Amino acid sequence: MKVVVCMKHILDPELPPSAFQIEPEKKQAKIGKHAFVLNPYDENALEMALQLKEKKENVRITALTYGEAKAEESLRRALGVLADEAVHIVQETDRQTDAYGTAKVLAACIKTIGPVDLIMCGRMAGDWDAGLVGSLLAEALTLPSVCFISSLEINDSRLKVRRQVEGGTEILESPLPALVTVTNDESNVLRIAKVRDVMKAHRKQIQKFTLQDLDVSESDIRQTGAYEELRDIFLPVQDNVCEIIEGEEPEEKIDALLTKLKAQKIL
Amino acid sequence: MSEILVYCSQRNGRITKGSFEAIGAARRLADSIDGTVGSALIGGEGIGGQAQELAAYGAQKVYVCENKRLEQYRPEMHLHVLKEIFNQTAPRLLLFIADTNGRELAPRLAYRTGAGIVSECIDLSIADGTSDVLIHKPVYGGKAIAQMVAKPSQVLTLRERCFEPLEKDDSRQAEIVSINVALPDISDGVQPIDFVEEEFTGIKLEDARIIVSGGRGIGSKDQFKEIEELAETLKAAVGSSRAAVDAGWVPPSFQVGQTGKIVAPDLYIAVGISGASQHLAGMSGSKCIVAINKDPDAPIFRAAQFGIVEDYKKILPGLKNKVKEILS
Repeated sequence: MKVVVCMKHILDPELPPSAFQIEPEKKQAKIGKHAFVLNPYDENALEMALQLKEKKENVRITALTYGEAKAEESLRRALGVLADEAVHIVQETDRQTDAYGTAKVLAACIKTIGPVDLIMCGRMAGDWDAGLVGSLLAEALTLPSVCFISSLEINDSRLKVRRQVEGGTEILESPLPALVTVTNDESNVLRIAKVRDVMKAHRKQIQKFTLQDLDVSESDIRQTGAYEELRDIFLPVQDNVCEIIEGEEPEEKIDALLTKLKAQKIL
Repeated sequence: MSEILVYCSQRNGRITKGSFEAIGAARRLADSIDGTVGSALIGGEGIGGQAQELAAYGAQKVYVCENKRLEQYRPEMHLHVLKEIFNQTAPRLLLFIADTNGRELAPRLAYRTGAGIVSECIDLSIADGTSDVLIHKPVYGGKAIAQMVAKPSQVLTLRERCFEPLEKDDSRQAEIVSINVALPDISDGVQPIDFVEEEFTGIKLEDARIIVSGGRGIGSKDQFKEIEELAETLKAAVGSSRAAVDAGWVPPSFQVGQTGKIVAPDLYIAVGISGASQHLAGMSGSKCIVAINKDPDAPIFRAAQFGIVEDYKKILPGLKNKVKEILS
């Protein structure tokens, strides 16, 4: 059974607001020397795939990314936790592709490396915060899909998932092949790789594709239509001033805080 | 004349508050472009009985499709009906509230209709002197805002609690349009098997006037009890950051943030929470935010009204006792 985990290599979402800047020309974040990481929700998807492989025989995991050359780091990380193979669709420019474009590229690649039984995506990427690619990819491949799952099992080639919703958890079944998007849960925090495996991962072959290899043109994916135009990107106005409660002892601080909350009729 | 269509979100057969927020957003926009607001009400038998409620919140047309097979949320079925309504009305915009179902349906419908798709919008307006719809959406975990221009046919999801519903007015009327469409056979697709209700005894995050929330800085599951005790004393709900969920200290339903619950209580007390943008996106609408953190550089202080720079262990027990005195 072939499982593909779609991954995005992104500007570290933990980057503090004080260090974050915009590059107005490109209408995206200023990259500078900031770290890039594997998107945290894709880590959850990867962990879920690894657990499936432990429970079930003959599961092969392919880590797939569409990104610039440096996105290879995230693929190496996946190989380090023992994904079986890695596929890199190399993006030639540093300009972001919109969700339709990304789904189109991933779909073309999956058709090339397929057939595939299960596609797993993080519920959204921590840079553009959209959460669209998974669903669009399912549509592009006409697959059944379930979003925001927190666990998964496969019995007799049927997929059974738990989906977190308002007020509870839905349990759903689907035939395979299918696509799921994964949300964070205690059970799917990505494991830490063994040093030995990380070293091995660095020597592994990564299969590379260009867009031409996949018969997708730049114009196919450039502004394919998520919106008419990205007009601007700006930092939100930060007009909040925090009053730090001073005091020699903790007790004083507590009293001062409560006095202020009472004065504002909050308590 | 252009129409703005709103998908009516439901939970347990009842229309959600988020639907009214989306109708409010649609109506304000429609009023400035001389458009109308329609709402798609898709559900089990008798769901049409709730159409008047949509009217009272500002829908001028309600497209009703009721069928026993639509009672449970089945994305494939709902998409089928919604696409039919979309094709009949050719709306300028189709709005979903960004709850779990809306987030799932919106991109798939956009794909099937060839419309644009932007998610998690926090503001909508018309550009001066044009009929362009401007969309504001937070990116990079809320560290920046992107402004996009909508396509002539555009699907959007709206972040919860970012748009005010209109004042309810029962004298408002809506034209009811029945939608008759043959439902597809989806026996080979995704099937709902069961629903496990959240086991829950305390105050719900969504309804709480006060929330006490803990993060990575709390340190352990055991120590998280301090948060729960303070919450109980304050008659508050308990929340958490993503880090506390991933550590297994609290269930995922406690998570406040962009991908957790979006809350806006009168008082939000953040304890041992660094204040990742992801988290701030879920609680920055709170009327008053108090941050307790030993790191004076924690981003949470940028969002808070009052801050205490101190190890929470030195603050929480005393705070709990003082609150007890005040409230007794």
